[in-house]
Amino acid sequence: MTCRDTLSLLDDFIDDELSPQQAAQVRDHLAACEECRAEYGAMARVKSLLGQSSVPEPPEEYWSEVSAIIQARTVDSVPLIRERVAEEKSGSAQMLMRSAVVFAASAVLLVTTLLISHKRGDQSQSANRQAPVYMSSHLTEQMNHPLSDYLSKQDQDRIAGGTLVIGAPSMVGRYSSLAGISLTY
Amino acid sequence: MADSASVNRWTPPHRNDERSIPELVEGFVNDDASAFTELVKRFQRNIYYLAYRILGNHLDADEVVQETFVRIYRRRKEIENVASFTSFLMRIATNFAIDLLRKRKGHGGLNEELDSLSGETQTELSRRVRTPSEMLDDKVTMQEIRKAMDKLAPRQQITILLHDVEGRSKAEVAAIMECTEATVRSNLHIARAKLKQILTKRLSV
Repeated sequence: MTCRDTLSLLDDFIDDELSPQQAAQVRDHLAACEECRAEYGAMARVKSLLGQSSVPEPPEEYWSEVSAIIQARTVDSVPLIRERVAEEKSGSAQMLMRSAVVFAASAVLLVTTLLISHKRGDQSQSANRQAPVYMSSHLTEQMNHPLSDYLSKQDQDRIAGGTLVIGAPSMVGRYSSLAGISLTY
Repeated sequence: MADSASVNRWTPPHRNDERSIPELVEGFVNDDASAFTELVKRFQRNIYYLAYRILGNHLDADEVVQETFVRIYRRRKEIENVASFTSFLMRIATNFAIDLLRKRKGHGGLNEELDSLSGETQTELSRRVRTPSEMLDDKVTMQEIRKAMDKLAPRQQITILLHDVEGRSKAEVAAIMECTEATVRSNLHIARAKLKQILTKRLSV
């Protein structure tokens, strides 16, 4: 066996993956050739060093902690498919029921408010005349402070005194008075 | 506290008194949360050791462990079509570690930042139970090997880590790396030759 043949088989020789016959031929060559022996020695030493390299072991509690984090990021936060389908089914039924109740309550409230408002309008015309005066001065104030996101003291008093504001909570401060949808009862 | 004297080689994570890996995998695919939890316990160490060897520090190894399991959880329906769960899992871990390695190299390397930390802080991050002389020998050898490894292309680096460090077969490495055994042999040969060249100078190999 030549040096070239031997060197081409060195990897497999080191990994113990040659046939017994080939391994014997490589061994014979290495015994006779100092240069190839040195090459083999260096490669075997590198493999041995790599095999010995250890990883610093983290503290034992790390393994339970990382398991818990993975659990929280997977099973706990995203239900497995079967559970999710069941959850979605029951969730959509509940949401439908909730929407129906909210719609019915809103309708009753609106009709009652309109009826009361209509009745008061008949009884006291002077009270109705005062409202536009308040609204116009309030509008002027809002226009002078267009970026104000918060309710004015007057708004708060008005709501506490019985103003029903229709709209999403985030819209209350910015739009309730300007939109003119506040109802006094 | 655990002893770090062991070489942290790859060991099949299965004991006779517990559910086998195929049983756990089947449970996991069929939405059994306890099977997933058990798989995490069985494989987390192997992924951590591999990731630590690739990236060289606890924080990155921890990130690889977490991300690997989060990703396999999301891709659990694909497992039915893979030949080997272990190879699939290790492939996810390896690919994520390679991505992280490329990012780290692009940003100067987290290893260098960690190397500059005080010994006390390093100990807090990953406590080792070694005698001072063993720690010094280990540190020098590991640092030199890590520096030499950094000179390799990522795929050569992973190939030699999986084969020579973790002791996996060429067939296993090929399955994890999604390549042929011939490619594994080729990468292994190039990586060993480069490492020999570098380490011969540094460690009088």
